Amino acid sequence: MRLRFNSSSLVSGVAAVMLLAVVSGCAKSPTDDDKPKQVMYQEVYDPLEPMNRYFFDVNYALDALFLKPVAEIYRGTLPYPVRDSVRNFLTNLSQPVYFINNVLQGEFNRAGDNMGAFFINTLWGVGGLFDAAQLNTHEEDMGQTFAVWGAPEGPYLVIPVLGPNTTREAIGGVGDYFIDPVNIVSDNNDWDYVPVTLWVVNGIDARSRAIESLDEIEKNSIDFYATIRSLYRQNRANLILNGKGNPAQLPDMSFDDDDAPTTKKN
Amino acid sequence: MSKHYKLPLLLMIVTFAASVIFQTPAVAAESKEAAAKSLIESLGNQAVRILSDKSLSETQKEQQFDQFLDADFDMPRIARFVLGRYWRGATEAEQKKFQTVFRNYMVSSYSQKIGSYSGENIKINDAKSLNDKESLVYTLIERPQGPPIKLDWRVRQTSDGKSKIVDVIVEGVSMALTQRSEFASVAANKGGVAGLITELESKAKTASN
Repeated sequence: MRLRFNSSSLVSGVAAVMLLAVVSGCAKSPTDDDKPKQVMYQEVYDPLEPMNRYFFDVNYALDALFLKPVAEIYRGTLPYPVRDSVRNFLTNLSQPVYFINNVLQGEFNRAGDNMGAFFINTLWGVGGLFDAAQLNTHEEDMGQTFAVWGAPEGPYLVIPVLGPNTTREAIGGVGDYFIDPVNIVSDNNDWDYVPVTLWVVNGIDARSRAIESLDEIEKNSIDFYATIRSLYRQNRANLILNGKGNPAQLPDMSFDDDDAPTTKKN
Repeated sequence: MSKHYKLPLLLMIVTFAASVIFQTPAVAAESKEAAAKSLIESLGNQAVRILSDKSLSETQKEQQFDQFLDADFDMPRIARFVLGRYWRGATEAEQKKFQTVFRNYMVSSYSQKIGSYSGENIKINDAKSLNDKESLVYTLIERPQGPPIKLDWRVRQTSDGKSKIVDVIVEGVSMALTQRSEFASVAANKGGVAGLITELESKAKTASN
């Protein structure tokens, strides 16, 4: 299998993301006399906040104009079993890249599940339309792999169209694009529109599943940008830990000394 | 003769007392998780009862939620946690104002959220201990369409033995942490605690419309 992606497109993809990260070095942090702001700054690490907020608004407008209406039509016209099959099909096509990432993370049991699910669902699930395997596999991307390898997160980024990210996740996204066997096969067969079509359909389906919840979050939030940022971060942490988060790492909620718990059990 | 009786009697009393003292924490710990579980169960029953009562208007439903909010949630603690680093810099008047405004904001926003109930039911799975005061109750919200939603409840026992909820974790995302992050951003951008209070007040007003 010949990799037709030449090295220059990979380099330019990574370079674009690195440029964003370098720009963050020029970002200013709050001055010392603003202590709470400084502490919060360290906690959220969003040095590019003004630029991120701008792109957040751009994405919000694009969503309102294009993605959300299309997602609503998609949900309104297609019955639930059909949309379920679409999701199954897309998940199935992602199993190879999940497999690669699980192997890279040393998660061989999970990788086995990915491979098993892919074959069972393709053969018995009518090309992936039905989840015959019911193995409950989880999405794994290169950003998570980098995290498992110990790479730091980098600044929070809101990328036009792609939405919330961090430097590590963004580079991971570029990596996934190049190692995804589906993309490689499409490229070798000159199926130019396959990766884009899959990406668009995935976006519409995912958006259709989050219409009410995002509306609710927005309605109740006093800073939608900050809410999404926090949700994104916590969700990433969850994905990286594969749900095995240690509950004892939940923040301390004791305020008076005589009120604090004395033992920490696991 | 009395000397020979006193020692074994004393030993018996001491041993008995010791067994009671050392037994109580274990018993108390066990019932802490059980208390947490039954709190969530009664919360679920209360919520379902209110939501499926067709005779109640929206405002009546909100009033009912308002009543059990203080009983089931440790609102002052949640408010203080959510204000984060800004609590220490705020005056006592600001702190009190924030707690009131935050509470109203929670009532108006969450009674709406729960109002979109449509046949979900809550399945209580397990309760684990976090430390000697807090437990985590794992529940699932089962929906007629779509996969179930994982909901974890962080329950804390106060010194007088009452159990109250201090955080709700939806699919691994802590609501208290999310709000703390959001409020910190608003306070940073809109003029400290005073600005934050103003924003919450106006949001509570529009949300109840």
